[in-house]
Amino acid sequence: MTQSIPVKPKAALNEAARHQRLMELIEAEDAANGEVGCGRDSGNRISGYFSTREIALEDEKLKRFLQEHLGHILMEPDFDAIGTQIQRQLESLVIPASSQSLGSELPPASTNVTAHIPTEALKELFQSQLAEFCSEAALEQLIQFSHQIIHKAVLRPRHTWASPIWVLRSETQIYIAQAAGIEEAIAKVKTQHPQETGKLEVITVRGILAPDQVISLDMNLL
Amino acid sequence: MEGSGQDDEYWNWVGKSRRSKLLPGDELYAIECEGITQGLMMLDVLKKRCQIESQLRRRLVYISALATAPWNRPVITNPPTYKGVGGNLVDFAVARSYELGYQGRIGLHALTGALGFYRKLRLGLLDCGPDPEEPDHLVYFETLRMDDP
Repeated sequence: MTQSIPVKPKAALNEAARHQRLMELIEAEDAANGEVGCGRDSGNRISGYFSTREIALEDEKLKRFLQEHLGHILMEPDFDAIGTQIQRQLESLVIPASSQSLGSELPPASTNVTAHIPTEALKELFQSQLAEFCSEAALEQLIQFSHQIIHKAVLRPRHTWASPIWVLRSETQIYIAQAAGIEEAIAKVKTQHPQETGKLEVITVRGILAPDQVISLDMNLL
Repeated sequence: MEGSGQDDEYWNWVGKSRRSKLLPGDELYAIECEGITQGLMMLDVLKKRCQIESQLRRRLVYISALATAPWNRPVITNPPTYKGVGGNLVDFAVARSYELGYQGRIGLHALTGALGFYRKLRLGLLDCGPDPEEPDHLVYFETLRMDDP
């Protein structure tokens, strides 16, 4: 199932450049004491992840379904986010109990959750793809979860979020600017601080994964 | 490692993953040396899209999972057998992204202990902060390309 990685990634990359890149990679690894993991925590959780990898909702089918029912309120980025969360919830429902911290618990139940998609339609979609993997109770949980996250998305669709907040650094200053994109953020800094003529480096951005995010800066990065 | 209580007592997930069925767009890669798997990476080249506003919904290569063998991790085995395994895997993900016409864009959710690694990789990965939709609120990184039309 694994695929081969070509021994020579780029023929043109000369030995010196490769050596330099390797030194950079090692320096980066050393900065994290050799910890490089991403995606899923290691240990039994990742083994569970792989062992249940085949249990999934068909991504395109789910998004088409959401588009049909919610296309008048939400847009593609909202469907991406809803699809991702339903998929993660599904994983946590089918992964063995030892990996409960992956997030199998439902978000706190809200008393004011409106069903924006008929429960029967959701059930039909899930059953057609998951009936052999999930118990009736697990499917019910998934439906309940879906209603909750869809309701949350409808209350605050992505296109209504404020512009992201960019944190930029020059040689001597830190700038925080709210703008749709990085170019606009840099332009704002240069306009409002014309004395700033040096190169600006973006340290972090908030407000693209969720609205109203608090910015927390690691002092070691400043 | 099994039974040691270490994070990696389940390193045998390598074997499991090789037998598992993959979803459309999933690609599994390993770095091997002397017939032994030194690191493993799962990519999703189809289903994930960019989240940064200026490149919203463009395609990217998403690193679904990346781990190095326990003997290559100083926390478990010091000194490690090999260094640079994780970095080479990430560089490969970038190369794969170029190959697919995604302009080298990658995305990933870094484990807490690995934040320093991804911040120092010199790949233009932007720290987008903790992802509230992730069960563990892992920090999301995405390649920011400023030269797009």
